[in-house]
Amino acid sequence: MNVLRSLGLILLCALLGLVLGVVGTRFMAKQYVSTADLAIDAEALASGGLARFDRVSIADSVEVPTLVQLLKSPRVSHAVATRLGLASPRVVEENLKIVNDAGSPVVKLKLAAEAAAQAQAIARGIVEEAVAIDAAKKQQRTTEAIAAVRAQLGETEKQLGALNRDIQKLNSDRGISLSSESERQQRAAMELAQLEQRLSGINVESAGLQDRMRRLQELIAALPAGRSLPAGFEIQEADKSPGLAEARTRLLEQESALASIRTRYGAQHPKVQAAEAEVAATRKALHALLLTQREIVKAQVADTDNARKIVEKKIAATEAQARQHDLSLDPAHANLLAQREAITTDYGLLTTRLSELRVFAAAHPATFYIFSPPTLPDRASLLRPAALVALATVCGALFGAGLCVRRWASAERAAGRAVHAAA
Amino acid sequence: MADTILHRGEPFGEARPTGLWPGGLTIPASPVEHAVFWGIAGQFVFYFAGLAPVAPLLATGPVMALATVRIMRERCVPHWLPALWFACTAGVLVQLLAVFFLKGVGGWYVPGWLLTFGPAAFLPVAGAFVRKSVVFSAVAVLGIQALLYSAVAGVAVAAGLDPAYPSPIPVTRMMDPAFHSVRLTQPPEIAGDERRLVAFTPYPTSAGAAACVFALLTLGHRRSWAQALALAGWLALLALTHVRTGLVCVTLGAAIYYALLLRRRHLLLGAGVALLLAAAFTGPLLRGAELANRTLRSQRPSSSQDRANLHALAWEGWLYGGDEVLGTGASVRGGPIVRDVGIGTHDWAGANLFIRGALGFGLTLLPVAVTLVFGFFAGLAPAERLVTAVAAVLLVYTYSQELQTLYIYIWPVFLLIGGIARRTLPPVLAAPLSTA
Repeated sequence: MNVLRSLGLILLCALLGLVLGVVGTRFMAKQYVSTADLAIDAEALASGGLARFDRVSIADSVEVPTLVQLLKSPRVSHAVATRLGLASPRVVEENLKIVNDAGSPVVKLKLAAEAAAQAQAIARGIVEEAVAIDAAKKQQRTTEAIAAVRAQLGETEKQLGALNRDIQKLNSDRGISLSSESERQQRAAMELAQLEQRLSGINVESAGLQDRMRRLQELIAALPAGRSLPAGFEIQEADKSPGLAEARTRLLEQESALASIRTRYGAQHPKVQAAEAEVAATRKALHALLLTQREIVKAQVADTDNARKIVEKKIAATEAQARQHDLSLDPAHANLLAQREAITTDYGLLTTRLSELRVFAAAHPATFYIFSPPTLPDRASLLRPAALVALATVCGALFGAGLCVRRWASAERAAGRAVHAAA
Repeated sequence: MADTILHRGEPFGEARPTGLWPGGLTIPASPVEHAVFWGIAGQFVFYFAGLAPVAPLLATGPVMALATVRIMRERCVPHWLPALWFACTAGVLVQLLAVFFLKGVGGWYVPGWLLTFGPAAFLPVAGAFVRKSVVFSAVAVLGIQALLYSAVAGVAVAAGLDPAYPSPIPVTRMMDPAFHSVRLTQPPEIAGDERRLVAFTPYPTSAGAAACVFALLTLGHRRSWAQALALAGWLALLALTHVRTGLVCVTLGAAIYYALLLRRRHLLLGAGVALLLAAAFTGPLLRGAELANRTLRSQRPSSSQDRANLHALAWEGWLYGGDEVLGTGASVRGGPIVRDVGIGTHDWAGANLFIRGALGFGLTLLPVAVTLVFGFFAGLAPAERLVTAVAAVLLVYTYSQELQTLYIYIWPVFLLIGGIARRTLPPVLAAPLSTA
């Protein structure tokens, strides 16, 4: 019974609070809430790499807090209040609520006002002002970047012109026309190639002569010793003089005949001795012919050596002349050319960057954009009335609990007094 | 139901002794005591059954409901201390609703009040109906479970095992998503290379705080093997959670608990004041304190830095944000400087001032401070000394944690507050009152 009584009192008070809360909502000014969504451009052009048009994800970077701060900033609220003729920027600041779920690139804006149209107008003013500030910031940065790149281009052009003038002066100082430089280099190269080819031929010829000389020396050494000629010995084509060939043939025939009759008659036979004398005479004649041939080959070797020396000298002279007229081997000229190449590369990059910056500026870059425009609320918000009713109900219940305790304490005191009085 | 018969002239709610289980564990007698005992002892069961999001309600709800019915039935006028707890925490609820009404923010905190501040509102009043030994016994049983858990989980984590599964309860905006995951340690994406046990809470910091407070409550249990095992369990859990504040607080709490055995409390106060004066006017004590603070911070520098940043942001936000009295009503997403942790969380003084303003801060702090003073002068019994020690520990914990978050786990303390602050009815009203 006690439970029901106490619970009933608490519930009654809570109900009373609820009724009072509901009545209170009738006297509350209605609130309309306009909502809008702003989205961070999940991929934006990297500020540090405009030339390459790098795209980086900035959805979870500092851009979201920046946007939230921008929406709440006095700059925005003052601008909106001025534009809409509001009494104070606090009308904007106090009724603005920003919601952003962690990791989401969308920032939700809620703006409460006493009229639906006013809520929408203020919300629109806030988002447009924030987007305009961001766009202006980006546009200003792009304009400054274009001006800086232009200035850098002008500077590079000046450097390039100065370098070209230095190169021309260097050529003219040496009496070299820049246009005939390559032709001259080509001619020198061809001449050198011909000389190299000729030298190579001389070397081959010299090697052949040396070989012949070695073989002649061997033959000359073999003949006086009475030894037989090497088997298969052939006189080279170059040595086939009529006398030498004839003597060789004759010697071979005589030696063949000598061998035949020696077998038939023995070594002491007069015919054999006559044949041996013929062979010796032929050998002597052949020896004389070989000596003559050796002298001829020796003369040829000497001629070849002379020819090689001449060609080598000519090659050296041609190379020296080429070096004298080749600017690519000149350190000063090479340095100028390297500088010109580097500056030409820079110039190309700057030109590309300028073009891209112009495209970037024309694209009206922005960090965020209006994803959902501010809505026109079609009915008043129930949030605050619900909160008021809940608040009043809880307060009523707490008041009821307090009343209960007070009643219990009073009853306890009364019982104590009664017992005391009875005693 | 003879055990639940109350007698006028006794402290109301004190059920007759019903015998003991092994280990000196008190057998619960009344429905409220059963709800308390099994609510405390079932924490690990709730957690591993995936009921963590509703565990605080499952554990404290029946206690609050049964106690409320009993208060109404017996028309008990509560002691002023539980009444103060109720008034202050109910004031927080009213403030939440007021902020929601005025600013349209913080609506999600209102249901959360029932899980955080709710136990602090109702359980001190309910404590009048629960024997303190039942609370100590339940904490000891939970401590023995903590010992088993620490052994098994410690070995599993050392072996590289960390099984995890989701709670069957769907995720809502009202509850931190971390409550909906059952696991042994904090997820690597948050904890990095550290492996810290979470016990029956979503975070090692909460587990460490619970282990610290429950270790102190275990001191109140009878000297037995159950007390020794439970103490070992809580200390093991505290060590495996690597919570620095918990290690400091358990030492401080135990020191206070035993220091309060001194009957002459004015001597303790005098010693405290003398220590403060010595610290203020001499170098070595100050340097020692600074060294201790620096050592504590250097144990986990990134965590200390994040907390310092969060505190600074919240403090500045309260000072210059224009919401000094009622606060902002909701936390604000922090930036990269605090690893996107919300401003108004992971801190107490700054966070409370930032979110709830000076009013909410006062309403939260006042009952803790009054309990500390009340417990200090209450008496020499273990419960009185433990309440004082825990109140001091809670004040120290304000250094790094939100008190209302800790209330979810350390709610048995509120029963003890009610236990030491209960009215004794005049003997003249000695007629027996059957509650059967």
